[in-house]
Amino acid sequence: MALPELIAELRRVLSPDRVLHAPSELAAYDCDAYTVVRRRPTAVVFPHDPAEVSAVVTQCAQRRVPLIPRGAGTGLAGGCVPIDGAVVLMLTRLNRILEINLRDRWALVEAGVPNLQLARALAGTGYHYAPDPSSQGASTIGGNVATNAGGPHTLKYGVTVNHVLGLEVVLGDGSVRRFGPVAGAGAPDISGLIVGSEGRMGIVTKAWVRLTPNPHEFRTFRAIYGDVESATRTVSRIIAAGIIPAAMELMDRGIIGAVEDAYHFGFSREAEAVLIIEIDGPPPGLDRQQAQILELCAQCGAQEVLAAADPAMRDALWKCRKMAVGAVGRLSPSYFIQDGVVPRTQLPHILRRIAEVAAANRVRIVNVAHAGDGNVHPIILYDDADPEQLRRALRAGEELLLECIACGGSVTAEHGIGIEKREFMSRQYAAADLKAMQRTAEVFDPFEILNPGKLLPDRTAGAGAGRPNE
Amino acid sequence: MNVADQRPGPKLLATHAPRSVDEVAEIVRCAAERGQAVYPIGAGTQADVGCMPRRPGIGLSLAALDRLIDYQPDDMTITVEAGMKIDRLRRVLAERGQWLPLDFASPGGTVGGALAVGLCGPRRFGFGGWADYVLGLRAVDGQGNEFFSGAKVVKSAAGLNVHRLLIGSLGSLAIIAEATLMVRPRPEMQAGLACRLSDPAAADRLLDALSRSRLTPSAADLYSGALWEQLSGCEPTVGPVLVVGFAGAAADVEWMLDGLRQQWREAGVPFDAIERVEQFDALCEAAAAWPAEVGVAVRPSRLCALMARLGGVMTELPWQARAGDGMLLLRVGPRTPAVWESFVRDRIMAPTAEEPSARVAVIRPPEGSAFAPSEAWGFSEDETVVWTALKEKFDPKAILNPGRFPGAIAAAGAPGASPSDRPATDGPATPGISAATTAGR
Ligand SMILES: Cc1cc2nc3c(=O)[nH]c(=O)nc-3n(C[C@H](O)[C@H](O)[C@H](O)COP(=O)(O)OP(=O)(O)OC[C@H]3O[C@@H](n4cnc5c(N)ncnc54)[C@H](O)[C@@H]3O)c2cc1C
Repeated sequence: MALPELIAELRRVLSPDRVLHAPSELAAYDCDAYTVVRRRPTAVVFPHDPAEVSAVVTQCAQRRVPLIPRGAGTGLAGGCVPIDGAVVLMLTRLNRILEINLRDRWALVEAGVPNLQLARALAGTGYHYAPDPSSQGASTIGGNVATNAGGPHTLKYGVTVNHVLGLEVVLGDGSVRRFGPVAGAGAPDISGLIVGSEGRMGIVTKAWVRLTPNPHEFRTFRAIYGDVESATRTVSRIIAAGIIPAAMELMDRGIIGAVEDAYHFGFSREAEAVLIIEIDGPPPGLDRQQAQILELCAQCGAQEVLAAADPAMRDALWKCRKMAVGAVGRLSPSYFIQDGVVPRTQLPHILRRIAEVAAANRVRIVNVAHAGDGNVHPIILYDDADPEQLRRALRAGEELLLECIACGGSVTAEHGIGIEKREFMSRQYAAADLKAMQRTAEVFDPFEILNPGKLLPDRTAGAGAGRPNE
Repeated sequence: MNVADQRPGPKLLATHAPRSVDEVAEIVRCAAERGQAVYPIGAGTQADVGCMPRRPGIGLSLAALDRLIDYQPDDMTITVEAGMKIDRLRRVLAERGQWLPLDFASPGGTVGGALAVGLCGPRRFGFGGWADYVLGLRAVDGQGNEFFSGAKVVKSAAGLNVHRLLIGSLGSLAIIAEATLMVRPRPEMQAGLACRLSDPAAADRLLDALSRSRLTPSAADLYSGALWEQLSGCEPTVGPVLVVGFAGAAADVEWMLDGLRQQWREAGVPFDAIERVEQFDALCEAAAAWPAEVGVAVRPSRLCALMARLGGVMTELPWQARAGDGMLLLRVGPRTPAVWESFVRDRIMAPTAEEPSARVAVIRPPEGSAFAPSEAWGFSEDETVVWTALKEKFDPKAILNPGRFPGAIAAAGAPGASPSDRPATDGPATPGISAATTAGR
């Protein structure tokens, strides 16, 4: 591979200051928020617009050098790890909001715009962009699209794919193509196919995203339980009553303790589980739903149910949930956030299994969960100074994912496969299923240069790269 | 009954009715070996959607694959075989107070057929379309490979969403054999308001007011006076009728109807009357069942401008418009194929070409009309290029529903290979995106 030549070309098509290649400059791009696997990229480039993205892709395609699109690098599955000497393509300079159109209910944004920047731009319009991952302060719309990001409010409003109307993408041959946003009668939804493809089917440069009218009113509750089962039973009962809350979030004792240590919200440390339940909609129906929910919480054995009295209190409840992961740093030097999903009714079972797996592997696991979706996020704590602990933590994570598959669920609900879970793809899918995916990816990336070795398992690229650093 | 008889175009050589997915795969594999065309058939209720089949082939009826595989009301998921009738699916769900919030063009049709056609009705605006409810699909591609894509849970980010390609592609990439769907609690009440207006410009102002309010309708549609009379059985009217509906708890629906009534009164737009639409559910179904022949997709904010461009067409033809989603649906009506075709080209396609965000799809071309698939379906060049490559991967022998949907580059020497099967951006059948790039290497 003529790498010096490639770097010279990249410096020519961009400008020298937008191509990093000195080893000292590259360290920050070794990994994303999945820190278990780190690799050094060949170069990091900062295009400004789709034409420059296309020029970079063309250069890499000619030399068959792998290319990794990167937004904010908050991905939790190692999707941005530059295996096989890849070039990292930063989308962060494509950061303009190009249009907000309330009548069409869409916004047109460049891929590098952080989710929260769009949320702020929409404040006061009466509309919002529904997907709200907990990482929204940093994570980009392009990254959200590539991972089909979710968040606490997906129970009622769906994940990213339900809110993408169209995409502009640079395909693996350098062509710039547009799919949507006006959906023809019967034309296939190609942008919906690209959502969640983790950079394997094109580099997203622009997205037309759907805007959702703000709910008239919210009611937010915090219910405290003496045991986890009662909390999960409440979740099932609420759904069975025909109520679809905007969110139902679960936190267990371990995470509550960490949140208390960090932020002093005033939770009892005796609580085994906390549910945050939010309903939204027009005021008349909310009164009845509120009464039903309070009744169900009580029937299921909630020790205390608190209704947020005002927006400030609602914000405080959500802050406690959104900052939960950050608080984990107080519990352990290192941790990784697992992501798995089971049918909602299997939630009690999977939470029991998580506890058993933690005990068997002698690791500590604390839990947050988008309980309404059956989406668990066991957070596995370990000390990275101790390779033996890391091994046990990884093993515990693997056992949990296999259990999710056994329950009829999936090894990821919203963080994606990346490099972390690609070996699990052949556990969850049959060979023919994976082949259908592979063939589809080839159409968009004929030279197999777009994030190869991620998402799909049947490649030689990055062989062994799923292993942690020695 | 021979379902094949309901399908226009060349006669079927034989119709197979497999009883398992494995049998579907076996039949397709044999057909692929012989390069024989395969026409998947559900209940035959929407056989008139899409272009005419171009060559003889076998019918593959999914009617016998109609089992309920798994229904978990508390998980809000259901898995059914593709041949299950929509009617039965609805009954099963209704027993548990649930539904699939989609408008079905024909309740007698099958789940697989509805998915393959992919058309949605008025409530797409509030509830989303088919793709929002399909969690996973099992399907058989043009070489007889059976595969599953998606998941059986309501949220999964594992793998590529290949199943999304099968929704609305008329069985031209793969035959849908089984579907896992997300379902929802059935709303307590559905109702709407209808407002008779003098012209589309008045509708535009009301729609604008609606978008600036915080009402959350399940549908917002315009109907030509004639079609409104036919669907609602109400008094005839000359101008368009705007209908906005809501779904939810009874108290919420009443609250929003009140808000809407007030909004309309305050908008300063002259109108004849506001009528309450009690049977809103039935109206949406009737609107979805109306066999539109031409669909013009447009940016919602440009819908009324588009209607102005179409001028006399809007008074000559019956039409409905999904104002919230931006979709105008028209019926040209019975004419000879040549007259029909020139009407569509000159009176609909030509003025629409002036509107940058709009695209025309010929949904039900009459027998004998000469629209090539990629033109009929209104594919953009980018879509054509990608779709052609996808077709090559999933159905390399071009045996699935040949001629009915874009994408197939007729393989040299294949029976019935016809130049009009070729998409606009033609090129050698290379397994990549663009022939130009590949050729350069
Ligand atoms: C504290 C914390 C909380 C989180 N909470 C949530 C949550 O609630 N819900 C959730 O879903 N996720 C969550 N995540 C995970 C992560 O934030 C999401 O996956 C997010 O969508 C990644 O966005 P990003 O811009 O950081 O993408 P990156 O990490 O930069 O990239 C992620 C993947 O997408 C690809 N990619 C990035 N940009 C593009 C593009 N423009 N075109 C094509 N491919 C691209 C990359 O190659 C990579 O494979 C959380 C992460 C952290 C650290």
